[in-house]
Formats: sequence, C-alpha cells, structure tokens
Amino acid sequence: MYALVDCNNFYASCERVFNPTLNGKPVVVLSNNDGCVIARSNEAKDLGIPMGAPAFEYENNFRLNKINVFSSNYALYADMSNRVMMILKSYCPDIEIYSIDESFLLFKGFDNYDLVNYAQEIKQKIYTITKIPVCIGIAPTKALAKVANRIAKKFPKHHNGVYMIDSKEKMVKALKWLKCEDIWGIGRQLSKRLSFIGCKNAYDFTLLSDEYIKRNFSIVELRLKKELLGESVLKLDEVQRKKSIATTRSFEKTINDYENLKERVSTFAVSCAEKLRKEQSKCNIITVFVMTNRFDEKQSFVSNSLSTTLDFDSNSSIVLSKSALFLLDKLVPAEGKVPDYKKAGVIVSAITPDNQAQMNLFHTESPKHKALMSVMDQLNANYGDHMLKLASQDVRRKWKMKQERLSPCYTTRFTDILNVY
Amino acid sequence: MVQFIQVPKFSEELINIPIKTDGEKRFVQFFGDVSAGFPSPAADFVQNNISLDEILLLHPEATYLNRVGGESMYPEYLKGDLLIIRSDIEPRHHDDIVVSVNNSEYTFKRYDAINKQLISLNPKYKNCIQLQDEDVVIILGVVTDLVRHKRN
Repeated sequence: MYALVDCNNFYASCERVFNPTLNGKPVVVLSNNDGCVIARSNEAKDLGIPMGAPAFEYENNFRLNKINVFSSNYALYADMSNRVMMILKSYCPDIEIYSIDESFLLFKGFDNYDLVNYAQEIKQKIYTITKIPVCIGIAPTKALAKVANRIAKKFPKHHNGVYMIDSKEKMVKALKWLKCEDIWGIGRQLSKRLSFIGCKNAYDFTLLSDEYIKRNFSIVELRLKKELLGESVLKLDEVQRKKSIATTRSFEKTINDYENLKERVSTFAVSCAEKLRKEQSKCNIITVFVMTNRFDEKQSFVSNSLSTTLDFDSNSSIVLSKSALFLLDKLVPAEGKVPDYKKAGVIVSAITPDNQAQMNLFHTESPKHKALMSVMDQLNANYGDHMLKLASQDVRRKWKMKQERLSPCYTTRFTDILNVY
Repeated sequence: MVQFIQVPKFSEELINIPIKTDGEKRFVQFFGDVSAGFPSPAADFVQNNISLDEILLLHPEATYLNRVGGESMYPEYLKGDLLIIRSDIEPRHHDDIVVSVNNSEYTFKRYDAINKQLISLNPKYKNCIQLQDEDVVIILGVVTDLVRHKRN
C-alpha cells in the first residue's frame, strides 16, 4: 500500500508554529518579493481570498478582514519540512519526498498493521513535534493515494485526516466523486478535452478504452488510468531529480535599462547553476523569459521567452550565464524603447546526473570549469552569500528581495530564535 | 570527515548557525599537547572527537532553541540563557516548559502537575496560570538543557 502524507496549508501552518496567537485567525503567505498569495489558512480560504491573488489588489481586503500577511520565509519552511520528513522516515523506511510539503510512503511488509491506526499515530506524532497538521491518504497505488488524501482533506470531520481506499466499492465511490480536473497530472487543457468527450468525473475517465486513450492522449494518461483502477505502475521514485529548476523574480521596480536587466538575468543563471551543482546534476536546455506588468494600463502586456540547447550538459555558472545573456539579447528589442519589465527568470531543464553526461563530438566543457566552480561554491559558503560573483552579475549593487513582512527565522538563525518570557 | 565548528559568539557576523535537522554531527576536535621527541604511545588510541550534538541534539527533528527574554524564571534561569527544548517528550511534574494557553504567545513556566498550574519561579511575578479542563494548551517543548555563557 502507498500513502501520501500532505501538510495542510503548509506555509501558513509554519507561520503558526512559533506564533500560536495566529491560531484560528486568517493567515496568508506571499510569494517572493511579496507578489501574490501562495498559501492560505482555512480561515483565509473561507474569506474568499483566491490562490495567486495579487497582494497590491488585496491590500484593502487584507486590512478589512484583519488577515495576517507574511512574506515567504523559506528558511523556516525548509526546516519544518525537514523535520516532518525525518519523522516520516522513522515510521516507514521507503519514502519519496515529492515536494516541500508532500511525501509518498510505501508500506512494504506492513501486512499485520492496521494502517489507518498507524497513519493516525504518524499524524499525531507530526503534530506533537512540529505543530503542523497533515492529512494522509492510503491506497494500493500512488494516484489513488492522492485521491484518498483529497478525501481525507475535504472531509476532516468524517475521517479525522486519514482515509484509506482498500476495497473496490470505496475506489468506485471515490472515482465518481473526483472531478476530471482534480485527477493527479491532468491539467486544465486536458480536463477540458475530457469534459468535451463526456467525462464528468474520474470514473468516466477510467471507462475509456486503453486504445482510445493511447491514440488520443498519451502513454502517461494510460498509466494514470491503470493507477486509478488499482494497478500500481508508478513506483516510488526515491531519489527524484527535479525536472527543471527555475530562478525567477518580480522586480520591485520595473526595469527598462538593458544593462541592469543583463545583470539580473546573469544572477538568475548563476543561481540556477548553483542549484544544479548542489544536487549534482547538469542541464542541457536553458530558457530565459521576460514579462511586463500585466496590470499596467500604460503599456501593452509583453511576455517573451526563448530557449536554447547547450552544446554540452553543463552546470557551470560561466556557461549558463553566457547562454542566458545570449538569449536575452535576442529577446529584448534591439531598436526603440525597452519595455518596462516587471519580471524575468531563467529556467534550466533536461537535467541529467553530473556523472553520466552525453559526450559531444565537437564541443566539450573546459575541465577547468569544474574545479573553478567548486572553489567558487566553497568560498561563497565560507564567506557568506555571493562574495564571489561573475563580472556580468550585479557586482556593485546589493540587490535585495522585497520581504516587508518576513517572520523571524526561528529555527535557522541564532539571532531570530524565540524569546520566551 | 571531521568538521570543525566555530564557537558561536552571538555577534552580528555569526548569525547563520542553523540547527541541523539532518542528524549529521559536527565535532569539536581537541588536540593534545604537541611535544617534540618521543611520540606518545597513546597517540594511536586517541579518540579525539567530541560532539556536543551527542548530548544536546539527540533528536534534531524535535529540538528547538529558545532564549530566555525576561526575569520571570529567576533565579534558576537568567535573561539571555539559551534553552534547548524538546517537543517529543511529555512534561512531568516540575518540568519547565514553553507553553501557550488558549492561543496566547508562548510563555516560559514551571509545570505543577498536581495543582494543574503553570508557575513563574520569580517571587516578584505573581502570574500563575490555573489550567482548566477546557483550556487549549499547546506545549512547544520541555526544557531538557540549558546553555549559559559565563563570559564572552
């Protein structure tokens, strides 16, 4: 049996751990640079604050409803997540950390266990130690565990945060309840197509024939159908490498100065390279995008992106920064006024492990880069953030993220630990 | 590999010392006297790694650090003391706990299990909390260890 453990409103719950006065009150957490809402407590959901709500538009709403607003404090969230995952590991050795607030567990050899009870125990332990509430869904496959988790979350009174799909009847009932767009891995576009051919819920989807799905959709959806019917095809991906890594920011002020934009994009590329090196992988595709403010009425909305493949897989700051700037050069109009850009980012994908790169007949990375990068990482680790930079980065300026409502880093910084009286 | 830790000075330069929740231990290495001449016969047997984590961070996932901010628990605790608290253990009678009652801010009290009270040790503070059955009590943790800097 698989279980999916999912923390409830994770970021909002983390803000409450060291500040119990927030219990029962609406809490929202904003994205980087205080752009939009990325997490809501149940109370904030009940007040009708949508996911992704732009902070500046809701400023009044926040004040009127006395909503507690926080900048995202990733140091705290990462630490709390780490604690939750450590507790899970002590209960079940086979675990796949799926995201910062979700993990799959594989219960192998737990035949004599009452899994619902066991899951309740896990849930209770996580709450006692971290004060983070979780929901647990248990089922024979990962896709069904995801469904069971949804049920546990939607009906807390009935199931007390744990739900198990362990019979054909429960499975059919759950599938008939689940809307197409809520199936794991079915996007908005796909669910539109499904509703067009008459699939109202997940059960209808499983009635489609294998051939039909394969012909009209893809092998991915076929696997999903099998999973939903209880046949386990998706296995526990224990060390999952990320599919892509992105570093993107909304700027505090719009940028229409090409030199300035270049510095920022170069910094994003360097940050992506650092993330790649940290998980010992390389990328082959790099994408750069720029966009203007979609709420600005003075100019039309511009959103452009460009990608290129690299000649060889790389995680070198120098190579990625060069490629990113090459792309940016093509993106930004050569003549006339540069638009007021509000947001830019670098995304790297086609990620492979560091040690199994494709050879290229004509180009290879200079072996010097590897040594250079490791020295750079070491120096930056020892002497604080980004002492050593590429010249194309913002060398003089000290650029800071807008984090006006950051809570203290209670668990990761000595000066921020909770004072008790 | 042995990793060295710097002894934190609590100055601005050394703020970024995370509690490690990865369970990996850091070691403080003690060097014996360096002497010329005949090598010490004990040199081969020196087990020269001591980690404070081994006694202070047994369960990193359940350990939090708090600092005493006031005088309410004087004389046993002084302002500025570092508290190592554990959230995975049940408080017993006369344990010192960091606790929130009815969603108040966390406060630092001694737990009197017999009279169901939370007590401030400082006689000047008369803010005992009498716990009622319907109170919502959230315990951040039980104090297991105390780090006090005798001098800087």
